Amino acid sequence: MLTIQAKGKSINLDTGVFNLACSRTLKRMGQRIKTFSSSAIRERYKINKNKIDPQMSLIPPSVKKLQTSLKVASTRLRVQDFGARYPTSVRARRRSPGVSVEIIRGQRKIIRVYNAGKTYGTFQTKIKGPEGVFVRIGPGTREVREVTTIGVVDMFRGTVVQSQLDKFVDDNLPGELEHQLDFAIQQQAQSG
Amino acid sequence: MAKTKTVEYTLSLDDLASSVYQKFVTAVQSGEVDISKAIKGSSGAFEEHGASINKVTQWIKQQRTEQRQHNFVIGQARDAVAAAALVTNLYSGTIGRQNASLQKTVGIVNSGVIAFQGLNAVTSFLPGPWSLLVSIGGGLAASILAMSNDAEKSTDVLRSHQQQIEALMSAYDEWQAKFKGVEDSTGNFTKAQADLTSKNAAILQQQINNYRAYLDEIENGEKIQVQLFGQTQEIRKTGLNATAEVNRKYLQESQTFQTAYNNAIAEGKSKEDARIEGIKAAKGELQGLIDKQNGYIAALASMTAAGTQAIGSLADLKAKLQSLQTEFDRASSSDARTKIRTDIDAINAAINDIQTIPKSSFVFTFGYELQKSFDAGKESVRRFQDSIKALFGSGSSEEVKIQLRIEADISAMEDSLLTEKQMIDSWEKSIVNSVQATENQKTRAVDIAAKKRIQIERAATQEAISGWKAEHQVATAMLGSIGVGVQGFVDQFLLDHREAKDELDAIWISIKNTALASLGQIMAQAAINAIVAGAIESAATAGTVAAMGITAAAAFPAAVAVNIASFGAAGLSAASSATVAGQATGFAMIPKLAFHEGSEGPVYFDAPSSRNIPIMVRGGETFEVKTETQQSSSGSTLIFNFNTPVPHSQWVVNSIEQHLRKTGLSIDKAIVNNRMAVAI
Repeated sequence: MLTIQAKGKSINLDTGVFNLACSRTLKRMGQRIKTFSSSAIRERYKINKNKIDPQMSLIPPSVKKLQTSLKVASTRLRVQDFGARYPTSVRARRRSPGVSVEIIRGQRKIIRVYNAGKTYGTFQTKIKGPEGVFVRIGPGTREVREVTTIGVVDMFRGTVVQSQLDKFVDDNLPGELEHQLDFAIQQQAQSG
Repeated sequence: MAKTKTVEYTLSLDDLASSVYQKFVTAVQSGEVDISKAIKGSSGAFEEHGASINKVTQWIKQQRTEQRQHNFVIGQARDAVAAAALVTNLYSGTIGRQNASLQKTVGIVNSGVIAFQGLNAVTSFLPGPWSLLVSIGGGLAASILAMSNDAEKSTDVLRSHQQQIEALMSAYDEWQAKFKGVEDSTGNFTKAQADLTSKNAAILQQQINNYRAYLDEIENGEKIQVQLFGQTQEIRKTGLNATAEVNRKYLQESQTFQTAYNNAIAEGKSKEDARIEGIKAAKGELQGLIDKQNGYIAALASMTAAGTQAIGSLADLKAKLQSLQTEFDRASSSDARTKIRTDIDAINAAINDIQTIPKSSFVFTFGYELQKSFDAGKESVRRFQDSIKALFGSGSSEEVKIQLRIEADISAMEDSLLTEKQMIDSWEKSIVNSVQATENQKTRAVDIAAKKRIQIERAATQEAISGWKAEHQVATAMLGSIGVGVQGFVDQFLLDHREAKDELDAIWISIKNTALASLGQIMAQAAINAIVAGAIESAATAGTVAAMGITAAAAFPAAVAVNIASFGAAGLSAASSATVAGQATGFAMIPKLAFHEGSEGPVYFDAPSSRNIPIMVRGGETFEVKTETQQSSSGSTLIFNFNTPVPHSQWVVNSIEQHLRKTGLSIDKAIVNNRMAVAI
């Protein structure tokens, strides 16, 4: 421990001070990463905030363990939640072979399901209860299955979001570390 | 049940500094307690450095023995300071890559490390920078050596150093006033800091006194130089006067001049023979001159004989006149008598002319009288020629014969006179040139002797510097790095970080300015001071040593000025204290060359195998040198001194065994000697 005589005060400039600053840096950066990730996902994908945030949780750092983690855990999301509707160009009594959805913002596409080398069209029900987008596998069968798409984890792991997130960390971590070191040393000087 | 995917984005900071820092503290504390005290505060270093000199030296020797002296303290200190500055080295953890954030942050770390590598380059044991440092001091000393031999330049140096001392005094007063103002305004300075201030002031005052002592020494040296110069001038004047006296009397006392001249040029070596040959030639020329003079005298004697002969002719004329007178008496005709009378009158006139020629005209001396007599002689000869012409008739064979002989004599006399003058002029010129050449030779000999002395003193100083460098580089580098670098860095860090953009910016400013600029100059200053301290003990002259000391003192305000310029007025007190601490500690901890203590018994010292160690031996002292093998075979007894009463012999064994158990060392590690294997 280095004891510094400065301005009439004795300051113990030990590594704990810096560890505390690093811990605060990681805690603050974790919170900012979570917010930034949610925004980046919503900027890329047409999904609401309330669908993303519950899937994200932060593991905070400590002075002894200078590590923070943004944990993202989710299942696949329903296609129904991405603005599913029939294309407007088809005639009323002739259904198109699929439902159009807008998963990536600005890129509306017709959903088709590929299974066993065959392509199946999707249909949408608006009945309360089984409301959603479904697909019927095989001709003449009564079995239907709801169509799902990527989850928040996949969106988070996407190249676009990850690149933006890395850039965010690159730009903000050094400054945050400097700020927290400054704050910690000032705090130590004032309390000492 | 839908399958749940999970992913984690982890950001971590790895603290590598704590272990390094703790390693450093443990290593230093285990090595020597006083070193850790020196690290913790300059006040502690001031209080303890005097007592810890021997301990530190001993500790360094231990490190050297273990072959770990290289970069041990410096490396540990650099790691610790770099770690304390930033603490962490980042890596990206589970991301598994080094992103730009890491690079940017590590870049900040690297800038600090680079700065400390610069510090390391100044303070480490690497030969290059250290040699550069020493060569700076050596070059400075050499320049001052040359400078001290020039009285005019030395006067300028004296004046300049006087001004610098005055500036130092002014800075000291300003520093005291500023410190007092800070003390009055804040009221937070503790008594220990006040003591530290007084100690700093005392040390600074002591430095000023030392510098004044150096100034007095150089003044004494200048006085001695002036006295010597005056004596040299007196000798030169005496030589010139003696030479002039010899030159003045050379004609009359040529042999005395020859002896004196030989004695005067006897100091010369290479040109002595040439001078002697010249003198011999001059002696020959003098003999030739004398011969010429004798010839001249003979010529004039011949001329006198010719005059005598002419006088003899006068007797003939008289006889002829007597004969004509008889014929005149016997002549019967008036015409014949008139003719004879005319002849008789002519002969009488000629006889009268001849009789009026003074014989003293042929007596001559040198110089003006010679010329005067010669002119008178020429006039007499001219009249004599007229008489001859009147007597024998113009164009007669007798007249022509006499005329030619007289003209030849006159021509020979003129040539002899001209040659004599030329010989005298050449002789004088040769003597003057010889005296001037002798003076030039003496001057060159004095210059060569002075340069030789300077070279010898310079070589002795360089030898002292080399010895000092080889012996004390570890202590000095450790002092410079730990005592000033670490403390100065940390002090400046908190004192001045408000002036910087932020804390890290303050760190870099502090590192670069304090560690590189200030510490580099302080280290250079300490090295020069040490060189001066070592040179004082050497055989250098008082004026040279004083000049070196004054120059070393002159560098002190420069170091303070750098600190002030870097950190502003707020950093003045800390910068001055750090500088004074570094200098005072450097002065105190650098042992001077000295003789060993004690009048009898062998002298032991540990000389590393990698280099040679110079030893100072008193005149008339005898050293017994033994190899390790000879020493091992010389005895088989080890003497243990206990500071407590020994009750019985087993107590000794028990004590040693207890010590071994406590330290965990084996017996050959606990008791180290080069004479025998130890066993209990």
